[in-house]
Amino acid sequence: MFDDILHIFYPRSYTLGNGKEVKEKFNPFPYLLILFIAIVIGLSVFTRVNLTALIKRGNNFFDIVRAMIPPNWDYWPTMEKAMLDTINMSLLGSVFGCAVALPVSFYLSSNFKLNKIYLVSHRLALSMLRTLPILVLAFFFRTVLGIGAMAGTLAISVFSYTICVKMMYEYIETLDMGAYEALESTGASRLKCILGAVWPQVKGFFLSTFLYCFETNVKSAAILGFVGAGGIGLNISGQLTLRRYGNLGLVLISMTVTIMVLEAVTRYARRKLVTG
Amino acid sequence: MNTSLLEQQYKRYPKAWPQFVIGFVAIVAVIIIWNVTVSFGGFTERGWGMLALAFQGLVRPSWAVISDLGPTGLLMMLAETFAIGFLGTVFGTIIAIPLAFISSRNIAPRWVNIITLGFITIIRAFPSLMYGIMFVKTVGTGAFAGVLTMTIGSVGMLSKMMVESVEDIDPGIIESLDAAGCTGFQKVRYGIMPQLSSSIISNVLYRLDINVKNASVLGLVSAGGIGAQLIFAIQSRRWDDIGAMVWGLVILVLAIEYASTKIRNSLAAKS
Amino acid sequence: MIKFENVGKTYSNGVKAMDNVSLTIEQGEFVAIIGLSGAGKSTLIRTINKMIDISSGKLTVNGIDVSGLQGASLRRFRRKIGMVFQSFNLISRISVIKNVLSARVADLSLFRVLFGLYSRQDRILALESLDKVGILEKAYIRADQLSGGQQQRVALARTLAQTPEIILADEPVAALDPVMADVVMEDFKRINRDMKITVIINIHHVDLALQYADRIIGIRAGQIVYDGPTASITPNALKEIYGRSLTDDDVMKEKIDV
Repeated sequence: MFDDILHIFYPRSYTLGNGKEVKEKFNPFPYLLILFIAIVIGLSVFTRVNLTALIKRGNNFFDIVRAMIPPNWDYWPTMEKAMLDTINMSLLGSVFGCAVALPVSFYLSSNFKLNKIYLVSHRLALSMLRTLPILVLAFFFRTVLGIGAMAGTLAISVFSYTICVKMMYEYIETLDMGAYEALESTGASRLKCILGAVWPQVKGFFLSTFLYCFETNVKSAAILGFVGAGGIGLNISGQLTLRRYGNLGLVLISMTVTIMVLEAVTRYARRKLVTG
Repeated sequence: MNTSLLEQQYKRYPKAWPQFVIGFVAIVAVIIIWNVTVSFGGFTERGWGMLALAFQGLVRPSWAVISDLGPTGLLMMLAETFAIGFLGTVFGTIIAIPLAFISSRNIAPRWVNIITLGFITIIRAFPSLMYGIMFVKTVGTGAFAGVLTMTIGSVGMLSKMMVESVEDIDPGIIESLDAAGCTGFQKVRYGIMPQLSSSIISNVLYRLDINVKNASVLGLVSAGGIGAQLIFAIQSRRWDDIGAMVWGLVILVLAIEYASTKIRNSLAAKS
Repeated sequence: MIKFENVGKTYSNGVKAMDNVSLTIEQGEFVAIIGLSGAGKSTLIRTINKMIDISSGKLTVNGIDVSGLQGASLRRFRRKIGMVFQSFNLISRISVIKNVLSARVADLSLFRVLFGLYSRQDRILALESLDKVGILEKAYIRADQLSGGQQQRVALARTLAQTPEIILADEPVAALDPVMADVVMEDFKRINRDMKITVIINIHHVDLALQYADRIIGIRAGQIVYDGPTASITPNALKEIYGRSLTDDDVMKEKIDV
């Protein structure tokens, strides 16, 4: 029994009937598991993970949740505009971001053999921009532009731009360039070749990417209000601080319904676009 | 030449006007929505000048922040951000795996699925910062509240993704284990896990990317990480400090993205 | 008239695809270029509309020096030369008629290309081109839903919509089955005869070349080893071109006795 446990850590060897000795393959998994657990414990100490506090005071969390039920329906007129703004900001941001991204993504695809240095540097700048959370962008724009939906819309635009460009150029690079070559042979300029031969193949994917951006942006737009960049986030943080949990409950219900409806609609539309 | 068919086919040519109508309606809609939602009050306090300063901060990041090894220094803040994202992913995965199993049609009865799937949808609908505030109210300020926030966010996304892969598994293997008289645990261990492990690992690594990135804003609600210092710096317009922190964040996130993409690609190549 | 004078082409990796090629092709000829794969057939055809640039010698088409062309002048020059590809190179996801019309974009304003606004004459020309290759009834079907042979005929119609003087075809039937290959070759033949368009075809299958072309040019390792009317080609000449006896791979339908 004890021996069996030990053998988890080093390979057994067997002596076969014919006197041959066979060694099991060394399995690093137990060592990696111990290392992993050590890291988790170390980081837990570092971040002061405190399970007793969670168990003892976990009730507070559920007290908040319980206080949200029933939601306060009278709050709707107050939050209606903010809820609409959240959807609008995300729609506008996705429209602007993707509209700018579309021509740029052709420029950043390696199939058209454009300037290599420009291509690499622009892509690098984009992936750096992508590492910044949307909230940091929003906070920055709020500082520059002042409080309001403008800052949030701009942040969503920049964010959508970085996502859309990346998805688009990766897609364009997988395309068959035969049709492009065929148009080139008729004496069409590069721009006309792209419009005539590549754009029809990209159109569906672009619209589907736009819908994806729109859908995910609604969720991001909901937190932008935390830094005063417009939308429902202001209501969430405000009502939470004021402990008006019934109001918060209504906000959360409308968010859930909105997101579920949007997900269903965009899933349907994207399936249509990809197959049709 | 086939004149009648030619004429007939000519008439079938699609009209050009619908695309203009759709385009026109879309543009008008965007303009209306813009006016309803956004009021552009112009740049505050010489906004363009601030953009230039921000750029300057990126070019000349503050060495004081970078070289500071104390708790407000860049290194410790990044380490805390990483720790929050990492632990949130680990704990989230531990909760998400069983949750995904009981939410899958082919494992648990339908009425159980509906309850757990509804629970997952509700979790996912709420912005993570809201959980941040709620956990700060529960366990106090600091990184632990951040870990809990990241955990709950990961549970929402990971369990949704895992349900899809669990429902895709090949039922034949479970059947054959059934025939061999295996217990429920053995079925999961030998029939299901081998089929799932690579897709689970790939989803978890993807989530790690997102979590580390999102952990950087938890500071906004006092839930730890680099966010608090970053927000203070932006508020008081210490552009050099912002530059240093943004660079640190970019390098951290890119490094994790690079590593996780590498691992995911090698997993995909293996399977 | 297409005139090669001591033309050579060496690729940047050192491969010599054309070596001192001289030949003259008159307007209205039907020429088949045969040879092993890698012999330089494709390179030869693609130098004519400068999809590939030559490295030495002189190439003139209707008196125009091709290697001196670039930018707008090259594009204007290409409008009179149609090209058909082995893999059809159609735009998938859009209808047959839109594919044929895409041959007209070179002459249209950018605004019209952007919104796909083709003139009445262009639309009639496209439909007539489809009629000439016998697939007018397929005009509004998505191009990627047609069979390979039909797709190649759409590609041929697209080339006709360009109103070319010369059609270059790079292995146009290699991806087709023998029956469809015959149909497509028949189309080429008819277009050449009725519209006096020069047709230059790269073709691997000797039997089809002999059946349809008026003139055979045999290439081996970048050099012309045979150039003459189809009627006077001999088994020895074929052996010289292929460097060996013909195998089953070199014919599409049947063994030939020449």
